[in-house]
Amino acid sequence: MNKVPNPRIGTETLAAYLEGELTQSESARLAADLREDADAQRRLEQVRRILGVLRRQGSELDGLDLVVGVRQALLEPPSPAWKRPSSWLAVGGVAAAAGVAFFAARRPATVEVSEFQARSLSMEASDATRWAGVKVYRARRSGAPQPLQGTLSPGEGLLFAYTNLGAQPFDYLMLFAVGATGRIHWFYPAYDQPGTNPQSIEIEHGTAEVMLNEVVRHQYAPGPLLLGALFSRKPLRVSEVEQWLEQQHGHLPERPPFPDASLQQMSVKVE
Amino acid sequence: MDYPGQMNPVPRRPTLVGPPAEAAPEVPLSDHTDDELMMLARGGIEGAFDTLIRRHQQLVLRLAFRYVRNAAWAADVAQNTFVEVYRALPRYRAQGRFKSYLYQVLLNQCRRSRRSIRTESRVLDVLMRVPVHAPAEVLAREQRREVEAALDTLSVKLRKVVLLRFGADLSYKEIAELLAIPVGTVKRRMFVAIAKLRDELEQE
Repeated sequence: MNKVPNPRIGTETLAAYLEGELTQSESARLAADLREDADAQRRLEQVRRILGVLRRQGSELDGLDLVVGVRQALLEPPSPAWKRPSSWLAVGGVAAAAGVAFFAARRPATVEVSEFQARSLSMEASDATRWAGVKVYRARRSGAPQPLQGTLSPGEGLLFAYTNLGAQPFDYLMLFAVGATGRIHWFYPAYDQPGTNPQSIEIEHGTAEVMLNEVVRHQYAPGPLLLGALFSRKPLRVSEVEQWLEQQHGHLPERPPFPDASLQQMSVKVE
Repeated sequence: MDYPGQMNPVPRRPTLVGPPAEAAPEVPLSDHTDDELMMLARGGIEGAFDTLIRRHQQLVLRLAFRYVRNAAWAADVAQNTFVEVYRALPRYRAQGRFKSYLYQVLLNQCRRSRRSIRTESRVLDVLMRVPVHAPAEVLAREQRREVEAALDTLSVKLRKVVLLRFGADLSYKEIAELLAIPVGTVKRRMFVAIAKLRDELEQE
């Protein structure tokens, strides 16, 4: 039969004990008392379990990266009033913060200057509902990003958002530009280490308006600049795409030589 | 990363045909303290504020989520917290108390967000699609839900201490600094809170 619970062992003391907030002598005395108090032992286990649950505090938001959203929010002027929640995770987990209206892929009569859009040529007849597209924005020092419209300054920062909808969406994407001098600028994948050969970035299926998470700047030569978006089902390497691009002498054909890939392009002027 | 107001941002990506970047020995940003990162960000050093965000965002999100109990609000609260911290860069004083400062901003944001009663159902729709397979995971979620419910029965003072300790992983000293109360008071509140949680759960 258990002894009468020791009135000295309150649950608060047990919490302090488990939190390591008792002195060595207090802990030793408590441990001795506990051996004779089944009720305190039971409460100790309950407190231990509660602390364990409190320490394992995962949430549905674990893994969310705030950097893109913060950057977007900072491009907007400060607002003194609390704003309603923005569509943080509405699509694909990384939709941009409020105020940036992104393009959703659809079939327009005329394609806006600021967006790429295409279907995979090889699948054109069988999958008319599948659409993919990329929209390009100018990242401004102040104010919200604006769709790229025709002209661009050398060194101007660009943001990209892709859409990858349909029954058979693509798996990979490359974004690049070919300048007036034939120089190739890579947006995605990042290509900043000579001697490396990065591959296409993976893209999410069934998503629209997914903001890629960096503002990318290059020093473009004045003159025409061709922006290219290469969707594919298999990852492509920078080297093979560059080799192909160099053979095109500043012109991009509609059909890339890569299997089941789709190239979208737009032309702007650097001035 | 490109933030408005940055001075002379370093070109981030040398192009294929450009000369290779000079390899200057430097301390990785991740090795800097919070205060140092704030100062670097103030000086326009690229990536400094990103590093700061990524260092703290997990706990900021968790605490925000536990406060506002809504994923959309929590994400907004967390984002607004970092935005406010960034905008306050010119006024920030490096005193080795960045965490306390950050969570003070966060608590303010939480208070403001709780005044709003609108919900963002789309976000919840997305989150609800996350499958749960393992029985242990189901059990853990159930336990967490019970403890969350018990937390709601605590007074604001007690609950705040628990959330800061376990949601934000702050030490008793840091909580005391943040709330401007003695460390002993923080501890006392904590142990009372734990005892009350146990009582509450025992009754269920």
